[in-house]
Amino acid sequence: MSYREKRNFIEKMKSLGYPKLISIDSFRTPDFSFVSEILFWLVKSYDPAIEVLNDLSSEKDPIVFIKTITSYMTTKANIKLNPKKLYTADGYAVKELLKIANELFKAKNFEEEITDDSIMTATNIQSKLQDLKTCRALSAEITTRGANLYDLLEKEVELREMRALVLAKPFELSSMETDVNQALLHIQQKLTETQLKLENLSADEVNLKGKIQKRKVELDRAEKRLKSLKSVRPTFMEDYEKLEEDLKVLYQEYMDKYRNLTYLEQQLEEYNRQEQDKSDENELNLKKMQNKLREEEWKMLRGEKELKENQLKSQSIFHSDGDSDNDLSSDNVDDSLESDLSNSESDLEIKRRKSLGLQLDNNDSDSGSDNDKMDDNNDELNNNDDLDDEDNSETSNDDDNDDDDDDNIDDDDDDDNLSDNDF
Amino acid sequence: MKIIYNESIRHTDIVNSVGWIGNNELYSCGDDQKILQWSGEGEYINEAPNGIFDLNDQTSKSINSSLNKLSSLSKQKSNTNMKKKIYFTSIQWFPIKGKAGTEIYAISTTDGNFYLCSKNGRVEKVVEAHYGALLSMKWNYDGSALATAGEDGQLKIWSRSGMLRSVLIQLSNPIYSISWSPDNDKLIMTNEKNLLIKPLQPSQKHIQWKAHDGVVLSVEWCSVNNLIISGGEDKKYKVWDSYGRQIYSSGINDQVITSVSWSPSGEMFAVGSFNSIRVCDKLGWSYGLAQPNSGSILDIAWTPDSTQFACAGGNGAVCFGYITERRMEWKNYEIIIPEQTKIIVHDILTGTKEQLDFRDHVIKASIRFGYLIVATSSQCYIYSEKNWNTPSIIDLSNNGRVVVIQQSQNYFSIVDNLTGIQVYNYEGRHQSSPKYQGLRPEFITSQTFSLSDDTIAIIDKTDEKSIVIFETTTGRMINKEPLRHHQEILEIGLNLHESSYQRQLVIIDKNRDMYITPINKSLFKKLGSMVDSLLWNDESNTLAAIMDGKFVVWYYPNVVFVDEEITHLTRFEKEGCNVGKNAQLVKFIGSEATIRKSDGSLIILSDVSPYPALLHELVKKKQWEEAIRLCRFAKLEVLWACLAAMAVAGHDLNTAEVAYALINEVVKVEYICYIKEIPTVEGRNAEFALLRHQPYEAEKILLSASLKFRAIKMWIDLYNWDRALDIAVKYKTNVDTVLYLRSKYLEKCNKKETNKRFLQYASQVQYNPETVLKKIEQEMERERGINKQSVAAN
Repeated sequence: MSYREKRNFIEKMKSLGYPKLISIDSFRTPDFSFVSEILFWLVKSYDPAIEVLNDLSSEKDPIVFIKTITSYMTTKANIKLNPKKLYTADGYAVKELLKIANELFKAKNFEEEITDDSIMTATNIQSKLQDLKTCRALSAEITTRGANLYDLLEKEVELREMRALVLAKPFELSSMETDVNQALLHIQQKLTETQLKLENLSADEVNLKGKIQKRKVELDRAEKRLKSLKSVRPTFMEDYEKLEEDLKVLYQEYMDKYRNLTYLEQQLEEYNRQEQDKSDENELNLKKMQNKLREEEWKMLRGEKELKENQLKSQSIFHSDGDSDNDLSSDNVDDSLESDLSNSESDLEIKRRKSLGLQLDNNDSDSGSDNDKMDDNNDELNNNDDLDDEDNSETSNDDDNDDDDDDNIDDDDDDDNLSDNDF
Repeated sequence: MKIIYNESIRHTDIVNSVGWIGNNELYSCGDDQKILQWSGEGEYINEAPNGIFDLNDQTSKSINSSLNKLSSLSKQKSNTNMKKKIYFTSIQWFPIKGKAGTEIYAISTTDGNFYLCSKNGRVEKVVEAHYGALLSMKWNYDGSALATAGEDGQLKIWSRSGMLRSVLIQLSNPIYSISWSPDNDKLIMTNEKNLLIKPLQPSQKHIQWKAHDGVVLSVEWCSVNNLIISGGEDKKYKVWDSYGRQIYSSGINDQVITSVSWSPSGEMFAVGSFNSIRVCDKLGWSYGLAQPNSGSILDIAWTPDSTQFACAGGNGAVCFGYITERRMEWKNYEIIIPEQTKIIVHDILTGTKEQLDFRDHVIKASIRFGYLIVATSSQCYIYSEKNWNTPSIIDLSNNGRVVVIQQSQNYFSIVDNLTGIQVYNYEGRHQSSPKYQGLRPEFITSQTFSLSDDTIAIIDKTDEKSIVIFETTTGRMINKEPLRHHQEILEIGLNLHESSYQRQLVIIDKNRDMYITPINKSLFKKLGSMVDSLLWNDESNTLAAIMDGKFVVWYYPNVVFVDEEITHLTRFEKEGCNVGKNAQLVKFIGSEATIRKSDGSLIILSDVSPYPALLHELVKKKQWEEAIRLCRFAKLEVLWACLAAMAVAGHDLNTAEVAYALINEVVKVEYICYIKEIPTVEGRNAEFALLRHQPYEAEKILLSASLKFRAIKMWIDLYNWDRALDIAVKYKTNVDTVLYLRSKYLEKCNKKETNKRFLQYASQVQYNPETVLKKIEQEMERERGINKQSVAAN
């Protein structure tokens, strides 16, 4: 993860004028050819004269390539590069590449400043004429020094071996020591950390165990309570049971009484019917008698009287007596019957009304959802059976009217239509 | 237009991010471990105090001290060596500004942390958010949540106080940029070459599409116009709509596009790349290009008033820029804004030039109906074309952003994101400030807001299917319920002429269909489809639109309510003129229209016929004879069709007859002749309503004139038997007539009665055909009688 390095590197390369696109995603996966290309370009721009083999066809070539460049950069530019990181060609390589790029970037900025300066100073050549003498002396010195240098370089052949030997020697001990010390420090720090953690862990364990114990005790207590609660009988249970039994007996009684009542009602009805029959029969008899009497009267009027007056005198007397007796008795009977009947009828009327009222009440309280149906039925009743309407109690009628305003209006309409048509 | 810029290098390393606080203060943060403060004019003020570095010092010190205790061997090391450097990636100010001095900002670093700091530098919270660098961070628009995205491919949502709410998504690639949707319930993010829209609701599906050929580096979703811009390593920037459809794609630039940013007004956006800034219109075409020496532009921030932007440069430069030389035209005036505080008015007829100077930056200007309205950050100036010297001045609230200026003949309105909608007349007197539940003035655009002399229409942002309508002078809502359409509405326009009862509203919905409706009820009639842009004429009641790449004018849009069949005849379509996709109408005054194509070029069409405007005037004055004469002179079928519709709307039989005859509508002419023979006035009016296909209106007219028989007859003629029966039953007349005619009709069709109601009435009502016929005769007689009476009365 080296977003910043990547971004900085890309930015630096852009300002250095690298011709190709470097994507911000390009170092996520190792891509050696890409890295080598950039490296080659950087080194070339550092020193255009450098000769590096940029042929990576064989297996060993990349290693050689990296090696030559790193050694060159360390010796010439004093930039230490890590060849391993470069070789992996991933995000870590960016850091190495950035080192070179930074140098180049600085140089570029510096160059810009210098060029600015040179433009400023180019005008006053005149003032530098005084330095001419020293210049001449210096040029003479250059030739002598050159000769010296040449002599010294001759010795190089002998000195090369010596230098190689020196270079082959292992690195400085002091730097090694510091490294080891640092590592030691690091490890010790880690050790203390882990020890601390361990201690914490054991403390946590004890804590947790204590908590578990506490919870267990609580659980036991709760279970005991549950058991004790289960064993206790509710306080009013006995009363309740007693009342229930009473209720049963009462219900039985109620049922018996109800049955008796209905039976008695039926009896009453039967009795009433019989009475009715009897009275009807009596009436018939009476009518027959009357007819007979009338006929006889007619006969008498026609004058049979004169013919058979004497013969039938005794008979007629007898007959008339019997008739009068019969009349009297029948009259009495009729009266009594009539009074009885009227009584019984009024009783019945009351009962019927009551029962109807009850029924209506029941229907009303029966169910809300069926009210509509009920109302419809009532409407039919309203329309068809005027008698029933009259029988219905006033209140129920009002209710119906309230509920069925619309229907009534419709009905009215119907009526109107009918009247229209008649018209 | 040009971009004016100045850059100054104060940071010694890359500048990562810039953030405006208010219109006049900028903070920038860089890799040189500094947060710098700048003024609005681009002057460096000082280094902002910051507690983040102290915080790090403390932690490093404590580590050192513990180390020292542990190892007696180790040498003393200087603190500076151990000090962990932190590098910023982004600075984001809290979006809602509190009291001065209490503002807070969030700042993120490459080690995956973000810090919530107050303006005085106190660190209020440190949150370890991501593994690896935190790459992008955004507050949502109401400041209730913060979204962060990192190199680890995670997108996390945090509460305002820095508590983790959710990990929204886990991708395999780093997320370089994120942005909130306008309604705060979606997030768009980059995912390598793709863009991904993820809703906050976990149940909803996300949308992903391939946006660029290279890695996408920057994306932003505009809160105002719902468009998305993205820039990537393929050196292109693209504009998308919220469904991922491409609206614009730029050509290949010289360098990778590193940053994109919308201006808060949603009218333009800025694109940053290596050593270049480009400012583009919302449709993608470029206003201008600047090439500062700044390195890659890593971040761009606009001021809340959209007048200025600041850029963070890769070489340590902070670059300030603004757009100048905006131009506007109206009739003979040309308005140029050469500097931020200056406007030049050029009258082409007289050749005079007026220079107007202002104290503050000009945010918006608008010229129409002879008045120039200029809004600066603190004041609003009203200039009349008659007098450029003494403007009326209105004080505006400070720190608000003027979002839209709309003008009508007598009023104009300024929409400000803090104070909402304000309506003034041209004397500068305040008229009203309409409000409704859920008004979000910051989202209003000139497309979603329309003003006329008596009404104001706004698309309701909370429910985009409805339009709220206000009275201009009082600010009261006209209808209790807003107008509702069945689709989301994108654009609206009120007609500017005509009196208030003929006020109409034209809309474009999500499907790009255009509808027209009167404002007092939802009666949407379709005018056209594939419409990109609409505009009412400034001077007459004609409507222009870009339909399927063509320029189309409706000379009399009201025709759809009058006679839909001749709509196509009243339409003018410009021949051989294809303006391409996404063209916008800029102006439509008199007979001249200006269109801006999607590549930014302007097309001026000046051959829109002037006759319809004249016709409108004559008809308004009811001068039908003159109108006919005008049409005869012009000899245009379009004009005759308009006149026909106008005559029907204005109840003028003779004109309608003539006009219909001339557009070969024989049937209509016949019908008008029939209407003429109807004895009663109400009967004629009803037939007119029928001509407009408004049977219910006709019924209302007839019933109010108690012409019940005619109403019943009308429904029977329309074969709407149920309605006829309803009326008959309701008024208790002619039930037998209905039944008789129905039975006759069924006899003709050889069908049996199946309608239950008819069966019911047929069983109840007995009728005699002869009497029925006689009754019909009587009714006709009666009607004639009424007419005679009325004539006599007159």
